[in-house]
Amino acid sequence: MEPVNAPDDVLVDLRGITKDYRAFRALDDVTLRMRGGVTGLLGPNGAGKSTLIKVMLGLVRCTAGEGSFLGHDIRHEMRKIRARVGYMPEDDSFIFGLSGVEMVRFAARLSGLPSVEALRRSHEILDFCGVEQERYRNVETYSTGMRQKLKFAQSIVHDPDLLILDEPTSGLDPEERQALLRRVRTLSERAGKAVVISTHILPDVQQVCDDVVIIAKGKVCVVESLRVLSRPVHPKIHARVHGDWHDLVERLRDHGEEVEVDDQGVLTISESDRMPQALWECAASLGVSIRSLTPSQNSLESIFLDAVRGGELGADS
Amino acid sequence: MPIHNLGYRGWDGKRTPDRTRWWVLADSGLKAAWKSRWVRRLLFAAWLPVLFWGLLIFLYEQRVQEFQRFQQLSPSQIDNLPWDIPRDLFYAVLNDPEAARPEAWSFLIMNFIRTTQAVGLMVLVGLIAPPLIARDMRSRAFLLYFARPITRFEYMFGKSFTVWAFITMITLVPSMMLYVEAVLLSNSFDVVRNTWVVPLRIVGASLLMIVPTTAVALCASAMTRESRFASFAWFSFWILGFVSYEILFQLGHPRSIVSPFHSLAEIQRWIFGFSELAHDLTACVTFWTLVTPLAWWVTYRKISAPMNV
Repeated sequence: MEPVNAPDDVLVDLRGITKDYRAFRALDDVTLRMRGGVTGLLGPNGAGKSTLIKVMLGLVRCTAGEGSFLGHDIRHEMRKIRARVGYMPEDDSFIFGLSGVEMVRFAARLSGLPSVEALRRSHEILDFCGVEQERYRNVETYSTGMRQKLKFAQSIVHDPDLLILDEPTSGLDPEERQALLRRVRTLSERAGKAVVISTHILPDVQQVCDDVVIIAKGKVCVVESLRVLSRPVHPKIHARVHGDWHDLVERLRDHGEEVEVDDQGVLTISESDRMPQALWECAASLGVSIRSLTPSQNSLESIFLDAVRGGELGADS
Repeated sequence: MPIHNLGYRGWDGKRTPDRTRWWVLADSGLKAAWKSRWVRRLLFAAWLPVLFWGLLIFLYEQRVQEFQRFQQLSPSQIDNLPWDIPRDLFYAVLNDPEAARPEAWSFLIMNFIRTTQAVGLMVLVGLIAPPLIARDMRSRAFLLYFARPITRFEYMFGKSFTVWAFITMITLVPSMMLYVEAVLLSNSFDVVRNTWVVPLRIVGASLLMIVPTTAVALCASAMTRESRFASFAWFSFWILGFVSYEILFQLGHPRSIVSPFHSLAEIQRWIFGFSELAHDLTACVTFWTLVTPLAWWVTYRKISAPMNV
C-alpha cells in the first residue's frame, strides 16, 4: 500500500477522526498534524488524549476518519506503524515473572530484534535509562519510579522513529523527573526522534516541548508551536530598575507609554515602536539603572485553561 | 554516569520476520512454565504410564501366536475382561491376531490416551494455563504487547502454543513412541503397511485433547485477573463433570456430555474406530464443536476489552 500523501515533515496526519464508545463520543472529528520534535499532548481528564493515542497505535478502531502515521495508513498498515513507534503507557504495565532486563529484551524481541541482539540492546538501553543492578530483579518488586524507567526503556529499545509517552514523569522524584526529561531532549535533538508526550504536568511541557496540542471534550482546541503560543497578543516587557522608579514611570508616561507597576516595583510596559529604546533613554537621563528587561509571555497554564474553557487565547501575563 | 553508558545509539539491524513473532510469546511461556518444579515433576510422572502400556504392547507382540488358547474361555470369563474390550475385537484377535493388529494397537493406545494421559493433561494444563493470560490482565501488559507489531490472534496463538506443546509432550509424543515400539517389536516392518492408520488416529485423538482443552483453559485464564480463580474454574470443570457422570451412571442414565473427561473419551473411541462403544457421540461432538470456538471468542473479547477503556 502506498503511503498516504502528506508533506514530508508531517509525521502524524489525522483527518476527521471520530471514536464512539457506544453512546459516548471520545473523539469528535479530530483533524491534526504533528511534525517532528517534541509535541506535548495536553487536556483535562477524559478529554480523549488516551483514546487519541490508542487510535494512533491502532489499539482501537476509529468510528470515522482517516489519516497517516509516519507515512502509513492508520486503517490498514498498523503493523508497519507499530514497528516504528515506541509507546510508554500510563498504566502500571509490566510483564509478570520477568526481571527488568528480561522484560526489555522480551519487548525488543516482540518488535523483531533477534534474541541475542535483543539482550545486548536491552543492556545498552537500561544503561541509558539509569537502571543499574536492579535490572536483574523481578519487575514485581520494582518501585513506581523504577517501573517508569523500565517502561521508558522498553519503549525505545527497538529504536523507534516516534515515541509516544503517556504521563512519563508521574511517580518520579524531582531528580529522576529532570533526568527523564533530559533523555527525552537527547532523543529528540541528538537521535532525531519525534516524541509525543501526553501529560498533565505543564512545567514538563514547557521544559521540553516544541509544539503543543490541547484537546478538550474530544476536540482539538489548539495545535501550535510553544514559541508562538507563548507570544502574547499584546506584547509587553517587564523591567526591574535599581533606584527610584517613580520618576522613570512619570517620564515614560509623559512620552505616551503605558506603564504599570506592581507591588515588587516591577514595571510592565506595553510594547511599541519606541520600546525599548525610549526606556533606555529615559533611564539614562534620570540616572536610573535597569537591572533586567524581559518580554512577557503567556503562561502555559493560562493557555491551557483558556483553550479548555473555549475562551480566547492570549491572556497576557 | 555508569561506565557502560554509551548514551543513546540507534539500531538498524535486520528484524525477524513478522510471521515468527508469536514464537516470542510461546518461547517466553514455555520457559516460564518449565521453571516450575511441579510442572517438571508432572511431566516425568505423565511419562511413567508409557512403561505399562509399552509392556502390554510388548506382551501382545511376544505372545501373538498363543492367543488361540483364549478361545477356550467361557463367555462369562470374556465378560470379565478389563477395559470393556469390544467383543468383535476380542474374537478378531483370537481368530487372526496378525490381521487384527491395527485394531489391537489402536485399542491399547486409545486407552493409554483416554485414561492416564487424560488425567495427566487435566493436572498439567491446570498448572500451566491459568496464569498465562490472567497475569497479563493483572499487570495490564496488553498495552505493552499490542503497541508492538503483534496481533491479538498472534498473542492467542503464542499463548496457546505453550499449552499445546506441553499437552503434546504427554499425549502425542508418548503415543507415537508406543506405536514405534510396537513396530520395532513386530516380526517385520511390513506391519507399518497394515497399521498406517494408527498414527493418524493418534494424531486425531491428540488434537482432540489439545485444541478444545487449551481453548477452555485459556478462556478461564482470560476471565479473571487472579490465576488461582482460573485454576479453580478449570479443575471444577473437570471434577464436577466427572462426579456428575458417575452419579448419572449410578442412576442408570449415563450421559457423557456432562463430563469433559467422558465426552472426550467418547469421541476418541470413534476416532480409533470403536464407534460401537460410543453412546453419546453426536451430543459430545456437538458440545465440543460449540464450546471450542465459543471459548476462543470469549478469550478474544476479554483480551480486547482493556483497549476499550
